[in-house]
Amino acid sequence: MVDDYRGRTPVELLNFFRSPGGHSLLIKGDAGTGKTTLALQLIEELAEEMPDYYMSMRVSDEALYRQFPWLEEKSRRNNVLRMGRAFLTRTKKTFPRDAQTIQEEGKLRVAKDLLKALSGTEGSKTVTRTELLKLEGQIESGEIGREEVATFSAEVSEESIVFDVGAILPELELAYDLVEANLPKRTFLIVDSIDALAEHYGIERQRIMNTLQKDLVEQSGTNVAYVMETSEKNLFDYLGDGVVRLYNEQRDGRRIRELILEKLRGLRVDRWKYPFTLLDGRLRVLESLQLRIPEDLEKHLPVKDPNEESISTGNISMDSVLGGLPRGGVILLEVGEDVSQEFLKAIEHVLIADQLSKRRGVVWFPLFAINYAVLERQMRKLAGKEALSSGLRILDAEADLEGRYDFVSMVEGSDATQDLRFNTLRYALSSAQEPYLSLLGFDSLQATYGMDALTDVLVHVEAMKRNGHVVVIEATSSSGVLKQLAHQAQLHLRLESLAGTVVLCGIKPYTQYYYLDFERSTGKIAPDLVAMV
Amino acid sequence: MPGEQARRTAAKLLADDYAGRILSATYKSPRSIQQLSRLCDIPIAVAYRRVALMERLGLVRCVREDESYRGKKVKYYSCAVRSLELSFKNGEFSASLDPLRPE
Repeated sequence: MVDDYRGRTPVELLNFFRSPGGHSLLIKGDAGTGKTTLALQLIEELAEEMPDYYMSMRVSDEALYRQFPWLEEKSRRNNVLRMGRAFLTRTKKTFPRDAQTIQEEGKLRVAKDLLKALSGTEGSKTVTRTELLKLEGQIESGEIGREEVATFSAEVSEESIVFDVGAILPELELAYDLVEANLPKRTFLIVDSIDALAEHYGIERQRIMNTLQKDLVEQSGTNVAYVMETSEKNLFDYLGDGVVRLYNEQRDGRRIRELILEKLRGLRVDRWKYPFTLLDGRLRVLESLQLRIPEDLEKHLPVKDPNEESISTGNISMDSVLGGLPRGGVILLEVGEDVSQEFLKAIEHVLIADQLSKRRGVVWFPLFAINYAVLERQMRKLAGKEALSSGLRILDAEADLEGRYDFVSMVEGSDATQDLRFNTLRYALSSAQEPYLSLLGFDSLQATYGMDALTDVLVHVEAMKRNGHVVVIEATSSSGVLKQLAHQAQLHLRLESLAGTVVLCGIKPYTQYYYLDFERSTGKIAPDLVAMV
Repeated sequence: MPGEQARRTAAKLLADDYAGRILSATYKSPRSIQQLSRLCDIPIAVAYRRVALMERLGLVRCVREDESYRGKKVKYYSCAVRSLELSFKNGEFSASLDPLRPE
């Protein structure tokens, strides 16, 4: 993990809080879906723009402190502020004001200045406390509060220090004090969780949310985010200005996490659903890329084969997940219909470039039509002119390109057994080293040789296997012979789209979903595989 | 509260662990409701309601009222009973109190 890895938060949420005025957001989801992680990442992202207060009902959480090292320091600081505030709210006698009382008042003034200094600003504005005072008044009079009956017994213990005498809702009162101290700057307040706070106080969640909405959000321009321990739609969705929901589901036993922007009042939302991962304890939304393989590529550096039994995919990250491609083996790469060709191209280009860089031979019957001029420029950049000429043979039954490109071999297109004859291909690749790679786009083979192409192709496949070479068969998910091809393969991989985000998974052997991260590969087209955990 | 209703309510309260904790915590020294909430691990709003009910039934009494620095009044409560007895007789629960005299 890179040291400064901070995950990736949807930009829509950041823009929501950056827009003028105060905003409230509900972060909803079942246990373990990443709500607290999202909340803390929002604090991080907005830290330089607005001061924050993370109000947590947790006792302590070492795992959180490891992921967010600044949190422990902030928690300590908040505790100091709480103690300072408790010192200030110590009860005092009003009459008679003797010398001792006057001395105590002097101490209180000093402590007040300390509190202001600790909170870092000397703002002169005040925050509206109308609803908070109303709430506290109703609690004091017994008008609100659940009819709760204790069903277990517990020891009553005496504590040597009692905090917040005089404060009915000390956590909320501290939040108000901090918001006030930060004015005119907007504060970002996180309540984690609103359920725990409501239970702690014995009052309804919506009452707390309404109080903060009116006093802090609407009157003081504060941003507030509530973590809520449920993903279900309910009436609370109407109380906030925004709702984001985190889901954790299964598809064929593979985990899928989704972040859904249900509502962000006043903001245009172009993308409302994101798959995401919690890899390395950080929430990272997985973007849907408009991938385009550039023509200007960096030279491909050969990747060491993982071991003697397999060849590299040309992609270190992919090798670490798959263990390379087995020599003498068949690999099926299934491509979903809604997956852009560019993603397949990226995998193909790197695989071919790696083979050519090692002076090995490649036979290629492409799945999709190729612009040979563009491919030539790309492959020359990746592997070099000589490797391209001596190592690559693209079999084409359609175009009349004889002699124009030395890496294109025209074939008859009527008999696959003849066109894919192993000895013919070995002769064509005689100046290349072994093991060879045979890359076959099966849907194109069927289109060329007919629906019975499988039998003829298998003859070629068996010959390649017997001689210790590698066969990669590409087929779309709608191919009628997918099951038979899968049966032949040692490795079966699938490229599919999750709400526009392209992921790779292993069918055989079984793996979780991996996101193809091209972000760090400017000029390089070998994506990192990011696990969806 | 009328006598019969008070006895029934007191009987119900005796089965309530929160009331028991409050009586124990206020027996030796007066406590504010905020202190009781923390000491007895009772949600603050529940603590206010429980103490209000116990005061009406004579189980606790307010012995002092102080002012905090924001001008709020803070009441302190003490246990007002020496003993409580719950009995079941002729098909009915009833409670009897032995009050503590105020000092």
